[in-house]
Amino acid sequence: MNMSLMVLLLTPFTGGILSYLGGKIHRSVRYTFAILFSSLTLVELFFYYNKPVNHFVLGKMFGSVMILQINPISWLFAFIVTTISLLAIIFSVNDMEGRGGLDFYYFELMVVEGAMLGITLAGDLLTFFLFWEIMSWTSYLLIIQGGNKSIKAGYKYIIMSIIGANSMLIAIAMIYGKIHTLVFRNVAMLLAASPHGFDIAIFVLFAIGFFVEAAVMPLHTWVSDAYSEAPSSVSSVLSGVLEKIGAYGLFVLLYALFGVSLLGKLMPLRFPSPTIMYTIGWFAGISIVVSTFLAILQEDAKKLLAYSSISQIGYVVLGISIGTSLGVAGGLFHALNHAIFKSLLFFTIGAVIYRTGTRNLSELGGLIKKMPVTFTGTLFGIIALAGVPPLNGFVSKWMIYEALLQKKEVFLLILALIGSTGSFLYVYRLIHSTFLGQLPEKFKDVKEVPFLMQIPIWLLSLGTIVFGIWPGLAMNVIARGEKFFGITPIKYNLYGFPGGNGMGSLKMINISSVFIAGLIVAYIIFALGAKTHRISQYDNYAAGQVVTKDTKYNYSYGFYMFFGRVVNPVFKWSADKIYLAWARSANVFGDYMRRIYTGNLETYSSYIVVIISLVGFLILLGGKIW
Amino acid sequence: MVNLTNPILLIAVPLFFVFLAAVIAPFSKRATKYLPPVAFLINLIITLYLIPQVAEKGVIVATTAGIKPPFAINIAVDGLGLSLAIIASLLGLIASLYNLKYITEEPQDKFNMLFLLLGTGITWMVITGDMFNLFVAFEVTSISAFGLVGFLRDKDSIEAGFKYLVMGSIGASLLLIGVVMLYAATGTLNMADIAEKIARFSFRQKLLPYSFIFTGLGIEGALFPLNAWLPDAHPAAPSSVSSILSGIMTTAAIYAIIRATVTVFNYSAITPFILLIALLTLVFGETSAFFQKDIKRMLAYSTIGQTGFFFFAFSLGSVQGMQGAFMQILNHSLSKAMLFLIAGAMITQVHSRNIDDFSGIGKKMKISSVFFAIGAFSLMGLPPFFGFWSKLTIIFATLAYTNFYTITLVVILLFMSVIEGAYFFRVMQSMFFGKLKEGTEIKEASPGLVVPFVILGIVILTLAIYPTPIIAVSKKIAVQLIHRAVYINAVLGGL
Amino acid sequence: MVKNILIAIGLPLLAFGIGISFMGFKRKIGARIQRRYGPPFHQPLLDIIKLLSKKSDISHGIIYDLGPMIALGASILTIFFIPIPGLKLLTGSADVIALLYIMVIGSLGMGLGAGESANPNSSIGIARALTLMFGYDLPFVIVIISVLLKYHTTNLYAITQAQAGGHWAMWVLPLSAIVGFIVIYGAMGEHPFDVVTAPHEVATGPMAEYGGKHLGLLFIDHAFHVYIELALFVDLFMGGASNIGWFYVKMFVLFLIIVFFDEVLPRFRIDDAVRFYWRWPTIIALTSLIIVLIGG
Repeated sequence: MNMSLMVLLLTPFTGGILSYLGGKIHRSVRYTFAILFSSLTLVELFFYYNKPVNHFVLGKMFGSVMILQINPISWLFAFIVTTISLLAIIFSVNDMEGRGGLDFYYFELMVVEGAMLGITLAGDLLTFFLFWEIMSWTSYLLIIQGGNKSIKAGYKYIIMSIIGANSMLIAIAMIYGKIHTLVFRNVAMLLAASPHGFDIAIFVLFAIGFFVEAAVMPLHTWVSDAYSEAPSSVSSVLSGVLEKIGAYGLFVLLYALFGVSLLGKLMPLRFPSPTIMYTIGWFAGISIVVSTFLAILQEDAKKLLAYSSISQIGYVVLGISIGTSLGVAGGLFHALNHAIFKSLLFFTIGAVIYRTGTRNLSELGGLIKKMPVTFTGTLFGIIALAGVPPLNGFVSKWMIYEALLQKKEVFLLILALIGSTGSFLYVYRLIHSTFLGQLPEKFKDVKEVPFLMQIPIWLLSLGTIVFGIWPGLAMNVIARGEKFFGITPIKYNLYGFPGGNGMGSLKMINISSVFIAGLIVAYIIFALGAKTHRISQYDNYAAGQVVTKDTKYNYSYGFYMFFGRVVNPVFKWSADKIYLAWARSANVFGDYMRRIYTGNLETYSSYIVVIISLVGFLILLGGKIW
Repeated sequence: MVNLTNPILLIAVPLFFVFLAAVIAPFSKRATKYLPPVAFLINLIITLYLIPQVAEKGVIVATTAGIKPPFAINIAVDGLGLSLAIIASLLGLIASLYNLKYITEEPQDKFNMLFLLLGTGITWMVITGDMFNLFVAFEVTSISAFGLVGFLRDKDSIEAGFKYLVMGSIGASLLLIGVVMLYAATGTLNMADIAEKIARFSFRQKLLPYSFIFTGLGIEGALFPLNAWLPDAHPAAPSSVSSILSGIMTTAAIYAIIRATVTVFNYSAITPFILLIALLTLVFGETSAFFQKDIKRMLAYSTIGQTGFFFFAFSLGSVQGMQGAFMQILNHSLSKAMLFLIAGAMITQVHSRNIDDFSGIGKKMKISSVFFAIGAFSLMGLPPFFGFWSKLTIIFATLAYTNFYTITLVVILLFMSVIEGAYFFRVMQSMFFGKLKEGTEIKEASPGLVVPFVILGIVILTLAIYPTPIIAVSKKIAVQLIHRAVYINAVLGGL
Repeated sequence: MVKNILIAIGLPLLAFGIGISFMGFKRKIGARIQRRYGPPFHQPLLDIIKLLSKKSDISHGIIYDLGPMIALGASILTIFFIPIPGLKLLTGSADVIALLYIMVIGSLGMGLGAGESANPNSSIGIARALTLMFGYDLPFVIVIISVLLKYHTTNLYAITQAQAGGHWAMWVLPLSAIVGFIVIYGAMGEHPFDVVTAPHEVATGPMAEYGGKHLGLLFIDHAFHVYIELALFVDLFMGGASNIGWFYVKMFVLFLIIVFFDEVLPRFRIDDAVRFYWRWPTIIALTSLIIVLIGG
């Protein structure tokens, strides 16, 4: 077992180049290479399942070694990256068909995968930042593949992303200025020994960068546009993986660089957890609730999912920020789960868009009869997303609730619970408006998506069940990871958690088996009754009106209008508007600034005179202006 | 057998070709256009031959009349000078290859002579070891640049050329005054000699000649607010000339300032003042670039911003700052020169310099647009391009001492890089994803235009893949520059 | 083992019996309040038998069939997590917080089935149901958190045990109990919170298209539902009970109060219902929570 991490890291990049070149020969070559190499990455990754590598030197730059490493947590995130990317590649084979520039698209997709893999494998800040930057601009190129509107969305994304990355860069440079090395371990030692002001500054600067990428409010404003305008498979990569990378960054920051005990020392302890972590928890909590409200009121399927992503990543960040073993495990587990179910939903909605060409919820409806597989996938996805047992989303959310309760962070717990109930509203809206209700005449001939697009849907649906009923599978990795970072893992078994220490117990297999038993009972009662006969959707009670084919009577537009009446007054303000206002005023200011170049020679000559006189003045001052 | 390792050849060869052009011109004006590529190629080869020597000795000194410095006019090539000479020759070669196809206006012979002279002047500036020679080289460069800016003879060019002429002349006179003052005070024109003798002067006494030299060079070096001619002149010139002007000429002037500041005057206390100027240059350059509608104007303003950026790095005064400055100079020269060449190639197709008219041409001019993106990415400092490393070095250098001021500086720096990203991404978006104007027939520019900038692009990509050696070299160069005694001793005790 | 099997069979029957009896009471009491004689006490049971034995029934699709089944299955699932006197049941497999979400499965099934019926009334009904749920969930989670904090456990059985000997949570946390009652009340969809089924507005909402055995299943589900809500409240706030008889009495008293209110109140508009829940019940629940936090 001496395969170096370099091979793993280079696999997707190589695949990208090969599929780009292969595409010039024939499109099947392109697909083969892309799928082959992304599966290869996954296979290679499994070699490291139980084998942490601490130190693989990549090179030396500015006197700081650049190293790769893999520990169980980075393995978990690398697993998310490679799996979802592979599925996205499979999905886009049909989904992107017929568009131009596909060679480049696959190249980008695999480079993004490689960059994200690089981030998870990075063992020092320089490597981390290098891949971070690559990821930012390559994912920008992916977002803008989605047509005209996506360009504006991508522009917003890249600007915010550059701002976030630059903020990280400042922190990295500050660290480098002190110790001239950027390896995580050394940085952690530096931080432990540094004055608190310095530490807090570093923390905030990093957090800004991670918040942008993880889409935590108030730095989320790029998400709703970017996710909805990008191609569906890209959206699922963005939401399933890119966000997780932000969360991974936050995890590294909190546990690899700072550590809970140091964070506790930075500010006086007034809250259940260290003040900084508590603050992050509140950011996450507000993300959860506000974006849930926004998601409820969306009319656009992908926008809905985008807001939902903001809210779900809130759970991940919230879990990580609790700081207890249970909370961290819950946060990380939710990262995995969210990657599974949110990618699943983006895929299924992508499948709907692929067949119908619209993502406007009020135009769709009744597709269940035409696209049963997609419907099933969506059903699993929404059950998992809403955190309803017995699927995976429930387990991780439950862990987060328990962790919050354990710490007595009750107000955050309220936000978390409410966000989950709210998510039930929008997921129902999503599935109802697309698959249930009246099938519009224009979609009469819609067919199920091709097999290749069904594969990701099937696999991810399976994932929601597997990790829901056997949470122990994921907990294996997470617990080892926690141990790696010096946190005592909680007790767990394959089916759930035995509880104890203020934490309730959970046994998923019981819940699911009793549920199935209940279903069987219900089915028996049902089966004993008379046979039913299918009727047309127009054979319907409409209070005496005759329902005909040309009437659209589906209740779909403004599904939660009445709810909107309750919350709309609050949403007059948005972070986006504030940023735009800032940008506008900066624009005006800059416009004034550039007028110094008047185009007038006399003015220009006078500038020279001014400078010479200034220097003369300098001499009068004795040459010292500082 | 010519001794290829004599740096004087760097000046002599192109000058020879200028005269050759003058001789050939009456017989065949068209033939003159083949002279610049040859001259620059020879120059490039010579500079490459010089590399091992410079690496070994540190500084190589050559004199004209066999008399030792300080009494003779001498040429002293150290790492920084040589690197700039390499860049100058390379860009000269690329741009002159580009010219073969690009320049169709008459009088071609005059153009080629001026172009050769421009290259000569720039090379001369970066390798000379003599203050007065610096002034002469400066004049050669400026005057040929005046002519080239006004070459197209339309309204814009003439106006820009005139503005440039006035400003440049003021700059030259200021430089001359400074040099004269120095001579009056020290009785010598040799840089190393001045440097040694000036040690007995006080800070204040040094300041007057320095300020004249600084201002004079600053006009050419695009420092705020002396750079007002630049946004007019650079776009007005033919694109190949703009690429030289933006790519290496302003940089050469900055080199002269660096040389004067560090080697000759041994200033470090002045750096806050320089830093302020650099910062203003950066801010005004980038902000103005953001508002431009004309692609070449935008690039020109971006040059101002970039100049501010690496001048800022220099003003930090540390080895790492110097290293960052050099890396950024390298990155900027290559990328900006390529961008101007590409812009020129695109303009030949679009017949407009307005960015809005460029929308959608990415689909038609694939190679040009992709290389434009590469150049822009490198300039913005996105990994894996070389600009990333130079940006990183400069940021690291700035934050070598973390306090409120340095953090503020870095914030300004990075904010400007966001603005730079904003306008470059805007252009690229419209290029790749905008709608093509209807009824326009656009196809890829002719290979004669494409090949030169592709070569430059390959150089940039190579740097992206193997940044480590260059970073190591840049560190050596920086160390060499900061330890000025090496230079002085090499010149005075050399030979 | 035998005991387990007996419980597995008996508990659903018991819950169904209790639920159906309450449904009978409701109709009887309602009739008496309106000075009518009212149907026989076992009328709901007759209704169910009638519906299940109907000879013809329509279907709008698989999910339309599956919806009532999921709802009923989920209700059967839920009752195993609400302890009854003397029995822990499965409370060790899922605590109160998990229970909150187990209870949601039923609504999901209901929603899916109603959705596929492609009837706008059903869709509006479901939209209202979910909105209402969102409305009362806020005070409800606050109440639950207060109780959990008070008793330092998330196990429902342990909570009932801790209240043994008359130390009902109702007396310890009166404010929470009041809000809890309002929430249970709304969850049962009684006036003024009957916006979901409101026959005059949305033609019984989610059930608009259902008939025959589908509706029969939903009626059975409703019986379970009544049991679940009441049993949960009794377990949380009235200390469970020492035997089934007391358990039944407590539930009955609670139910009586609910019915009395139900009969005399008008109907909220849905957004007003949400506003209502997010105003006073929330404030009261928060007050109670803060008292718990400070007082330990």
